[in-house]
Amino acid sequence: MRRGKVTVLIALMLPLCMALGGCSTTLQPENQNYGLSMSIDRTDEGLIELGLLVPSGKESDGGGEDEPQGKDNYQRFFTLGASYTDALDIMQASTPRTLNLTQLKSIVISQRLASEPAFKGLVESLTLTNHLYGSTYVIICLTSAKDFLNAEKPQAGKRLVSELYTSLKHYEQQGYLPLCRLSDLYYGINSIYGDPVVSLGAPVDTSQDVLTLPSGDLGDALPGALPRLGLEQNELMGGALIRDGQMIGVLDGAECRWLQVLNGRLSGFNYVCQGLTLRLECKSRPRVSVDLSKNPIVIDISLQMIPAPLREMPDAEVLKQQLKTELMDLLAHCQSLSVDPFDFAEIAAAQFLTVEDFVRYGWREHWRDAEIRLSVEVVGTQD
Amino acid sequence: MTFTLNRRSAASLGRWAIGMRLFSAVALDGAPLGNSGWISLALAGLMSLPLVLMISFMSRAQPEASPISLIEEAIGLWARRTLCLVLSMFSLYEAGVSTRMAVTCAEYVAFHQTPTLVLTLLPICVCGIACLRGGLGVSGASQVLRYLFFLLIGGMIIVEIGSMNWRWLMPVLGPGVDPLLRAALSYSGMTTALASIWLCMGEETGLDRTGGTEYKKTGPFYPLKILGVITLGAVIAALLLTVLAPSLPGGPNARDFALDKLLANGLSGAPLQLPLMLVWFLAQALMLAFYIYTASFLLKNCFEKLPWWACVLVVSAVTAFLAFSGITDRAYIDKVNALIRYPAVNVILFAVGAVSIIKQRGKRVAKG
Repeated sequence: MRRGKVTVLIALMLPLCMALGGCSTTLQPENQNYGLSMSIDRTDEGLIELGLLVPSGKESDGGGEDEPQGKDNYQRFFTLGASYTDALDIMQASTPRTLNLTQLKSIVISQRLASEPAFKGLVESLTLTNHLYGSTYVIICLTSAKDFLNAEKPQAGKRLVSELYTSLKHYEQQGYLPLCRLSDLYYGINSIYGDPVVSLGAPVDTSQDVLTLPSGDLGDALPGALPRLGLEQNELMGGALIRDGQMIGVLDGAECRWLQVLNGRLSGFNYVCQGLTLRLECKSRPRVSVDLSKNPIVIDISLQMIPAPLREMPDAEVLKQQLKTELMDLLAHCQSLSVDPFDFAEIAAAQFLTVEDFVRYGWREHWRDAEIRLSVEVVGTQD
Repeated sequence: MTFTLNRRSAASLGRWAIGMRLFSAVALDGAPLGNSGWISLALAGLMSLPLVLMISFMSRAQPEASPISLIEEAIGLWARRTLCLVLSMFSLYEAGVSTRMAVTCAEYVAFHQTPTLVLTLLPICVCGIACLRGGLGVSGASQVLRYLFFLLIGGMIIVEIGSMNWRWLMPVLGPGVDPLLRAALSYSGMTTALASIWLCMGEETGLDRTGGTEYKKTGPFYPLKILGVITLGAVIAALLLTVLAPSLPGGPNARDFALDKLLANGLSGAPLQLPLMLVWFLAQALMLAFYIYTASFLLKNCFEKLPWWACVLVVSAVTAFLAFSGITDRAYIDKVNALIRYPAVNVILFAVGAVSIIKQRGKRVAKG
């Protein structure tokens, strides 16, 4: 009986725990400034400029350029600091409500900053920022990240969440854009298994309204110069190559497509050969083996593609040769930069006992000089 | 009311508490082990064998006797009381560590603006109330999770199977032999928790502890079987964790980062997060309840006249205090465990077991 009373007493006292913390700030949505997109730039003075896109609570009056009347609007905050953490501190201190990064969907970093050795430290700071989750997408902007952020307009209301995801997923399915989350970038920079590739973007130069075609196909154009016009002022296509925590090159959309085929992440796409459009499907994931016993090392890649012509089938031998040339160009491009976005290092690492042994081996140097034996087969046709 | 556990409850609690502690050690604090933490866990299972065999031998020699009475018979009343006090303090420390980890997780995942004091006291109060009802109150919760666990984990594996990369398990020895052996030594401290569970078991009377009705006897305590299940489960969990995210030699050891890697993984979609959160927080609550219970039980066996509710209250209060103190910080856990707790518990219990066996043989010889 007595024990029962004690239990009841403790149970009744339990809610009093709530009062122990005093009057704390609550997590009401209207008291938060939810960042949706972040931009990070290096200024001419060597400072870090941080930008944040936040949904505004009030309706736009439609007075601004390109702002449809009655649509939701964004607020933009920009701060300056000696480092990312300084700029973030100022941002947290100066935004009118509590800064909340839990809903952040994209981080846009300028190419200028990504090409500096300090980029690796920046990525680590971003990863360790409290409540900035690793699932946030990272985009490297060929021009100013601030311009990219300013060009973000709500096309479908305030829900950049689904809008951005939908567009990124769509671009990825075409094969022209490798998606890269913050954690992918961080793991890729620090992991022994290969180098990361980050989505490439740029705002359109609105001063020009004349469309020009790129020299090759659509995939040969870089963002900001795509032969298109539309409401969306930011373009996404291609990838930024990262080596040792620093951007060292660019892949165009077509190269990104082949990269994703070799990584086994893209199974089919539309392709043009001899002026004829066809769909290419990978029969299976590419088979890759790495022979470390030879000098230079030998990497065997075997790829089987199934063509499905729209109207007429191009010459199989020409098609095969074209595929092989494009793939070899991509591999040679990455070898010349000593960057391995294909994750061949994963296969090589399995042949060592410890991580230290593999690091001591110096995969990057061996990869640069590796002999590539590429076999592309065009098998059967799909109707 | 009897506060001891029956065999089945002890086995269930043991699996959860130890398995969870091992997994969190690998997932949150095992960054230096990279992709090879599973090897350390498997080695730890082997290293734990001597003490577990000793416990197994003692419990089989006199299956009806309670472990407390066995120890008292071997080393005397006051030595037994001292041993219980020492073990109670170690369980208290582990309760503080568990609380701190649970609070960190809750703060990181959702309650980052809730005062830490509230987050700390609430789970302790809830677990304390569960312990007031004796051992079956605590072990009942573990039985619920037992069935839920496989459902949740199964769903997670199905969702994530496409993004698992088995090549991330290579190179097989990861950081090398020395770090793996050191970690194995640390993980072999799981025997201390196993020993605590064994001590909390009462005599096998064949009666329900609360109502006096007959219950199905589940046979003797099988520490070897429990050790095997825990080791296998922890190894599989560590393997799954590794294939979801690549290891980072020299990466940050921040617990926030490790939590993000574990809970959200940065790579995983929302479908993974919900079941993982459920399993994670339920198991953490269970672990905390287990350590509060064992600490209270051992305290009661040291000060027999202290009422059970007072034991639970004292233990809960000290747990809250420990959770806020520096010694439960991650930087000190390994040091406290490796330098004090594990050697002390292993040596003391092994010595007690040896004395008990010698005495039993002596009795048999005298009878013969």
